[in-house]
Amino acid sequence: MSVRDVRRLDTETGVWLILLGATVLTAVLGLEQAGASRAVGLVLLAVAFVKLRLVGLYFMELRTAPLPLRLLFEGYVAGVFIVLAGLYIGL
Amino acid sequence: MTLQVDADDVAHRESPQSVAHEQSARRIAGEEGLWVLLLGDMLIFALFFGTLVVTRADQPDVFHAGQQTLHPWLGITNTLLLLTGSILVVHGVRAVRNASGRAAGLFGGALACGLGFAGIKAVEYSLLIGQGHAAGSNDFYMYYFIFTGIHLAHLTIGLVILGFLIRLARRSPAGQVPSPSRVRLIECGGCYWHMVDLLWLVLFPLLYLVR
Repeated sequence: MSVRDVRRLDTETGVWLILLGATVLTAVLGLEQAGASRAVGLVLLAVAFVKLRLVGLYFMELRTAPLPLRLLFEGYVAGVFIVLAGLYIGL
Repeated sequence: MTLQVDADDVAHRESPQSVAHEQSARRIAGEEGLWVLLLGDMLIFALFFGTLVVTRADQPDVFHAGQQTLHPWLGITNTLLLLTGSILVVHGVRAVRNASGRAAGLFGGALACGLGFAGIKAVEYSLLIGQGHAAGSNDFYMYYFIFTGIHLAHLTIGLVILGFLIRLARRSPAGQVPSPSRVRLIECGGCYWHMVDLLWLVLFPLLYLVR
């Protein structure tokens, strides 16, 4: 195993730790909220899509994928988040 | 058959360095066709996400009351299990590429995480049904059972795929880099498993947390 491979493993393990931390923190935030707060809901939604993007880029290796596929994925993340957030705030 | 033997022969002559160099270039993990399937599935789930947000806006009280009956820490545990399964698959795919001989064990760990998810989901379903909440109770439970059920079906397919990956990994002993076609096949399985994780990351907060 080369030095470069070790560094890459460390990056992905770091991403995994961030994902675990974000999961617990946002869960506590979501469960502690008193009443229906749109701002908290929006934060929870935004963090979910950041996590989704991290899984795609680092675990599914889209970070190093050809540009069209990377753009399709980035478009999905941004597009679905904007539509959901718009529906959530607007309705 | 002849083609397969040739591909394996080529793989045996390749050094780990040349494989690593090939992997450093921009490339698709798995096959292009797989990504059509994955992105198509993700689009279908995007419709599920939208359905949840719209129905919640229409029936806020029904959704809020339904959320109160769920078991969020079981859902959180399941999220952590899927994320852990995903990192094990990442390391498993790397182990295949590096021919370290650890891939089967890592995929086995991911399989255990997936089985844990399914077991916890079964407990959640039985708790809810025991409390008198079934898919026919109202729109919240209908969507809860349908969407988590469809996700569970994806996970079950993922478990079968992981079993297949374990078998493939066992055929590649330490120090022997598998053929590029076999590596791509394993990458396809890995990416499918990550998609199961990725979809849950949005489904979970929408059902359990977002008010």
